[in-house]
Amino acid sequence: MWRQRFNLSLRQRTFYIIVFSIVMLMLMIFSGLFISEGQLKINPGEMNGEPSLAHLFGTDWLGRDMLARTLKGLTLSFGVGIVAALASSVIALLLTLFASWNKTTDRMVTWLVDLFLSVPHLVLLLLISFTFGGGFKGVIIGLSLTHWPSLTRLLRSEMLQIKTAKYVGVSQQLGKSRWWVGKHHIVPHLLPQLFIGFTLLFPHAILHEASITFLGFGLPSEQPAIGVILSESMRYLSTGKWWLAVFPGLSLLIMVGLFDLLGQSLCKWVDPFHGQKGM
Amino acid sequence: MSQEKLLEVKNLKQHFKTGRHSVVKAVDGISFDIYKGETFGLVGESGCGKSTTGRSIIRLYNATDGQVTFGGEDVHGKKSKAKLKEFNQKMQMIFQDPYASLNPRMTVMDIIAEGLDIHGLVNNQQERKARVHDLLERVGLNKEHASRYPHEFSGGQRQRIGIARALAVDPEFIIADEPISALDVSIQAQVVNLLKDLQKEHGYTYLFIAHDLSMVKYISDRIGVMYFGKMVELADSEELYKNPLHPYTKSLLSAIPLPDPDYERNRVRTEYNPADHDTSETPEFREIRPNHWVLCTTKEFEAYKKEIKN
Repeated sequence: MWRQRFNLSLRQRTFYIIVFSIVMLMLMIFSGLFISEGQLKINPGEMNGEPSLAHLFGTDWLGRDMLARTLKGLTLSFGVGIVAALASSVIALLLTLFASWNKTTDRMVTWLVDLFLSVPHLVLLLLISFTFGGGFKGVIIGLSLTHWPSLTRLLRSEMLQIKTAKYVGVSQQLGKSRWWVGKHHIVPHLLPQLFIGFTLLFPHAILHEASITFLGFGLPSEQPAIGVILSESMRYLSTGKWWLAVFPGLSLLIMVGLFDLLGQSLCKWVDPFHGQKGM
Repeated sequence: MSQEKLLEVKNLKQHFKTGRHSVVKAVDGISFDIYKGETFGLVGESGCGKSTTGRSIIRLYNATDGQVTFGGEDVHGKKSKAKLKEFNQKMQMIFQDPYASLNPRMTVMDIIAEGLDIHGLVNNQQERKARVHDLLERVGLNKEHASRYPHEFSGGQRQRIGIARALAVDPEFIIADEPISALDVSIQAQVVNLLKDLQKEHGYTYLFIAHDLSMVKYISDRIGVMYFGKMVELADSEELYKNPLHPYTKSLLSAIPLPDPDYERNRVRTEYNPADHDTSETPEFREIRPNHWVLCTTKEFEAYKKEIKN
């Protein structure tokens, strides 16, 4: 029905999905950026208000508008997630390419991955972010430096498979440089994994940010990150103030979902086989 | 056929370490020559080292021992960059699996032009395009195919793309590593005929590796039979089919099915038992008749000579 009415090819549809998710994400982020301090200030007259037309997401125990706080928090979380996921993906890709060089480098990378995976993730995260002085900077560095191992492992195994492919042999025999082989054969095949890895790391990073904030090592509590909002609302949940957790949680879920949609669509977009399947 | 040697393989050995003390002798001291403009067929059972031989010749593997000379120059020796490039251009390979040998994320244009760029055979985009179109037509595809991706083609068409890639750099010698084994029977003949036609037009020299004996007989001028990393018999293809001497060759030939029900009903397969050989000395590669070589001991040598006289 839908397909017939608009008569779009799969490639076009994928394109519109990409545009849609980008626009939605942008809306979320920009609405957060334009929220002034005034909208976040304490308002003792409207404490613990249920969701209403004036305050769509309700108000908290200090009378602050939850919608404004959520949007502001989403923007912050989005920033943390993007930077951490991006840094981790880049580290993973670089290490994979480094591992593809020869046996020794491969062993080094494998060892490094094993080393990082052998220490409990959260402990390492705490240590690193503490070493770098905590706060926003510490959290970002900590998240970036601890999320790459599993992705590196995945990319490395994929890379090993590609390296033995016949077309790589052909290129080597033709006398192509390692750089050329990496750019034309290995990276294009790693991109889909990288995209998926990136979209999976993104919520992972946000949740880890939330958890170390919850433990008190993360962002300062006056910054309304989603993690802070959720951990604070815990105390009020038992007294029936459901909106304090439901709306921020739901927004986070929607954002992660949108991001996932974007990643998957981009993945399809760069795959020649999918792009030309027709309907 | 001119008798100018293009490729000489002398005592080529390719051993692979599989553990601390175990070594697989994939190719264990084989020698043969390939003359300019001929097709040399290499047959044998799975895992006997046919493909490894091909790959060692083209330097995909570093040979354990032995010498390969191509056009008078040592292939495995140290070479300057320019020499290496020249060598890379003259020798090309066509692979068995047309599905694994083409990068699914590159267009046919880029796949075929891969070699063109590095060897400086084209000066600009237009020449590159024209050249690829020409190559596509040469292998029986058309130029509209250039912008497509490998998954849009059938196995036979993909193999043609692989052939076009090999031809792109104007090679002299092409190693065809079971180029038809992965293809449908109806397509096999097309591809083999294409290879034959191209040879007629451009005078390529082929090393044709296969296990389909009837196909090998059809395309090859001379055939070498390999068994367990060793060359057991080498002769002109007519001679080999008429007078097979080594028991393994006989066994191989007895396995060819023919589209003749009467013959098939009475066909008896000769079994090959390596234990039947004379083990009093290490067998050597001897010439029984001009251009007909068999791996045998002195005793067997006499027996084969007698056999061929009758």
